[in-house]
Amino acid sequence: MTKTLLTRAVSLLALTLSLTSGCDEGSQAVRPQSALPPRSVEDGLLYIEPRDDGNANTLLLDVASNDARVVRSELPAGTVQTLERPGANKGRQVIVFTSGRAAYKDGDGKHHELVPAHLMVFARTGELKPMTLPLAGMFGQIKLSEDGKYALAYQSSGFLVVQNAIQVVDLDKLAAKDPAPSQLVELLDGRETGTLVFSPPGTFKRRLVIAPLPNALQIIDLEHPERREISITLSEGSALTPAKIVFANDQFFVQNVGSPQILSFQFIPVARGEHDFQLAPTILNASSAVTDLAITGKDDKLRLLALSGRLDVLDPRIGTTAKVDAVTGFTQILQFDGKSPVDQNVTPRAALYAQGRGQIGFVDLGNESAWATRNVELIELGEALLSLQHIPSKNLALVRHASNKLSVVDLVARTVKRVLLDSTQATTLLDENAAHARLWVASGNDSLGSIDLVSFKATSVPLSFTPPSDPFGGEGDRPPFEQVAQVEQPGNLVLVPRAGGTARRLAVLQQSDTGRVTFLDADNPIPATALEVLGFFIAGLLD
Amino acid sequence: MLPPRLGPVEPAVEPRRHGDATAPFALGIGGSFLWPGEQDYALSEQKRTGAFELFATYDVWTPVPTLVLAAGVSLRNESRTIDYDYDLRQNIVQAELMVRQVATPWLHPHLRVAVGGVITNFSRTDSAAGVKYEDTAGGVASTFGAGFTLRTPPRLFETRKGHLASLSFGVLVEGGYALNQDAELEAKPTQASEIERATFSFGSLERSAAYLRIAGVVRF
Repeated sequence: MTKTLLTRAVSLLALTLSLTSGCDEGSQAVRPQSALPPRSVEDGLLYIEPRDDGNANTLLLDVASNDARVVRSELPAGTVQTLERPGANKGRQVIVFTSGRAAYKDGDGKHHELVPAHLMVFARTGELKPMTLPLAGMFGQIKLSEDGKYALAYQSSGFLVVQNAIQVVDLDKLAAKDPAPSQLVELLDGRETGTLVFSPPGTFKRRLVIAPLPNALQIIDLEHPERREISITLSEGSALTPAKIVFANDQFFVQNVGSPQILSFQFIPVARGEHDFQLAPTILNASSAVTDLAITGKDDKLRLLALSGRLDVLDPRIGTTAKVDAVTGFTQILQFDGKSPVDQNVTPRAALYAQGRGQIGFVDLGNESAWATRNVELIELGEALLSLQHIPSKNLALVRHASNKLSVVDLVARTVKRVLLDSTQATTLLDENAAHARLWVASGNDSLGSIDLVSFKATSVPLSFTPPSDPFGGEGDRPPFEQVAQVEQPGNLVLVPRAGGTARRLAVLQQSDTGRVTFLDADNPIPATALEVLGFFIAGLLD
Repeated sequence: MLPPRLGPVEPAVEPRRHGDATAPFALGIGGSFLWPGEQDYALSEQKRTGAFELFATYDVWTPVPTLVLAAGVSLRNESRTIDYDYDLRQNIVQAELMVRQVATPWLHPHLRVAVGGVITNFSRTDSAAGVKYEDTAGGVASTFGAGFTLRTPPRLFETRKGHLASLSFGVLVEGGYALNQDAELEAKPTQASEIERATFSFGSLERSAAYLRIAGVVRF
């Protein structure tokens, strides 16, 4: 009896110790913090943190003062997209769009109601509540006009919904608390649109949005979205696929894939009818299939530039007026106004380029009578072009190559300066607001430099980061790769406007799974102006 | 050489009989299950954690034959590493008073009250950035519990010469609540930097928890 009791007591003690030591067994692994790349708000960054339950939080990192703070808020259900709000609040506000979620029953039989798509505007202080708008249903995409006035939600989804509906939101009306800031437009054409093209504000006579579809255009009058959309068939004979739409004052032009036909639509006001305007079509023909389309001049001097193996110059009223040869191989047009090495007059000019080609061709467009005889002036890049970015304020073009090289093309002097990066993985950010356009280059986690694109003075930014140490002390103790969240690729760069004025901070996003960003004064990037913000993803972890 | 003595043989001496074995000292070793109020310190969905327990008591007063007041010290150590990233270490040292009733020779119910201090060290390693955040916070700790000890009967291990008469072994089971001061923990990087830094707070760690303590006890 005594022996039995003793045996049981010892067994119980052993069980106790084994349970205590092994109590982690069966627990779920802690998910690493993760976040989507941030957007800038005034004096801050806005991150989206996806959660395990499929929803997401916003994390607002407020660095208005050096005592940084974090504000989190929960987002409605659905896939999240963030967009920089264009226009006056560019870089200072972020549009957050959630796609919504269909109604469903969970495993416990509990019914969950449909959550519609939501549109929200965030600033440094958080969500601007008056500008939060639940939409009419679930939508997959959002697009903003370039002045930030209109937001269009499209690609509606869900069961028994009109799939080709578009919801037009007037953000100015929303901010002004207008009772009807949005309008649901159900397109009569049964096809769902993939892209939307806005008429640019201040250029075209009416704010329109055009949905290019195979052989058709669906047009919504944004100033009167309650009116029925305008549907235009592009060709009765052959099917045309719209590729690019360019706008003039009272016309817009449609370039089509693999076609020499350019369709022109003239805006004509009318007194009667459902709409107060008509769009009168005209067909223009280039020499051959057009690869790019641009316009130059205005009114009577409005000309279309169509690149089609040669550069066709078309007067929309009468058709082709001139053809510039020797441009074979160029597929893109960059139209700009400026001087040239031999002409001090600021006149329209064009730079022609093509991906994979190592040359840029310049055409002077100022003297129309000379166009027909004007030769293209070629400059060599030395390496094949990958992409070209225009810097209008400085009349420069930043050309990226497939290698770790950049070329800066002076469109006025027609010269090329080559910049060598230390890695093909280097991240670059163009700061056009700088007194001299500045190119920031980050490589790896702690290497940052910049180059003035006018003076070509290069600066290495001596960030006094402590070199990352290995907290594990050896390769063998490292956690498995999948347990380390790659929150940010090292060296990602974001420009963050400061409150009031034009001052900006450069945010260097460093690889981390707890949050690590260094902010530098973009005009005076020295350690004394720097602020390293650490651990914001784990702020309030225990609360 | 003396001749052998003849006569009756003296009877063998019997071992000396002791009274009921007195055993004022008790040493215990075991573990506790802890159920913190928050879901395992917000680190995972695990709702239970564990700790190592070590304690010693001495019977200081016996007001009536079946009631004993013991005083002692106890140490609770909790050490956890989660996914290589989070590391939580807590040490609690307490002075305790235990009232034990000798209900039967093998069952001793008890009440226990303990007061002391707790030191918490919490760290988070950011392996991607090579940064480790760490902070330590102290506080007041107290424990209120009730339970019982199942023990071997007295004199079970007594030798023929009367040694080990007071030795007994037992199993202590106790439930209660550890009422501990919350810890405010900052995410302080352990590495220095020459540029200005902004860091954040981990927040408040709730250190109070219901517990179940199971320990092996040796009494002598």
